[in-house]
Amino acid sequence: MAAELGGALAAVSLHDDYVTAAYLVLFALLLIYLAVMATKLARLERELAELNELADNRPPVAPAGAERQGEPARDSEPVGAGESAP
Amino acid sequence: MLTVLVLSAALALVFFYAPDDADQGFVQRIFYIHVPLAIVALGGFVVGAAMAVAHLRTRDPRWDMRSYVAIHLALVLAVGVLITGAIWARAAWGVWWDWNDSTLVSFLIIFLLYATYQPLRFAIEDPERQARYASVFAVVAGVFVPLNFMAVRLAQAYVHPSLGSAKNLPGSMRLTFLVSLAGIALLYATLWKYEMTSKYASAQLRALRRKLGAPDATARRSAAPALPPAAQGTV
Repeated sequence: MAAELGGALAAVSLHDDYVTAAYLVLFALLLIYLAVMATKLARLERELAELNELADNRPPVAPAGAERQGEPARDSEPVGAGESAP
Repeated sequence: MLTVLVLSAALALVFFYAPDDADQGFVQRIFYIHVPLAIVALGGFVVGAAMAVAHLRTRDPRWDMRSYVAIHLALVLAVGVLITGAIWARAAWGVWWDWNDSTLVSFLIIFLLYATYQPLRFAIEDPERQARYASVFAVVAGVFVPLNFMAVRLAQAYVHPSLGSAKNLPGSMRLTFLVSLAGIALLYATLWKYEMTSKYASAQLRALRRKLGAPDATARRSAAPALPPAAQGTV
């Protein structure tokens, strides 16, 4: 009787393990996906900070159409405007 | 937020509400994750095909990007289907894989077919050609998915539980199954949106880098679609 009960409990426990394993698969997939997305986000943040720094170090640009007093009007255009991709 | 709520509700229903199956007992609860994953994965492939059709019609690279992300995510879910299916087969039939089961083998064929999608993209250097060939592949493979599914269903009797048997489920089991299906579908849609936002942000950063004249250290050959600045926009 005790042996039968033990066998039944072992079977239930084994089936529990299978169900747990199946749900852990989904959890693991989600976790891996989140880790990949976090890495991508960190890279984007790093690049953005780098570009921000680059933009800060650029010389200030006069607004288009602005004229200095006593100077003739110049064809001024913001740096980068009209640039085409390399 | 809705995705988290529905998935939490689905898990609660699976473990605290749905009764044990008369034949398989507790192990049948794998059904509530395995079947929704399979349906959403196959649906994702078909959605990817529909987006590829839109790309071929409009030549808008954003549709190629949408199709790429839909197929990429469906492939991730398909990995989950194969693993949870193997675990269920081991628990119910005593084997990890049964080559005589046409449903298993047909799903593996579809998975392997789509596993070639990314290498195909990577093999083509010209972005325009890459997008066009990938869209043609996505359309052909997307048509193959339901055809293959129907062919298997029309084939001889087999032991694999069919979706038809899900219709005959008792009310509590059916409710649990439908909530699980909604949860996985919402998870797929949420991840698709996140991935699209990430791809657009990357493309905009690249465009900004070019405008500022900074060297693009991240520029490299990729299987992912390259969006030209003019095509960047919202998801």
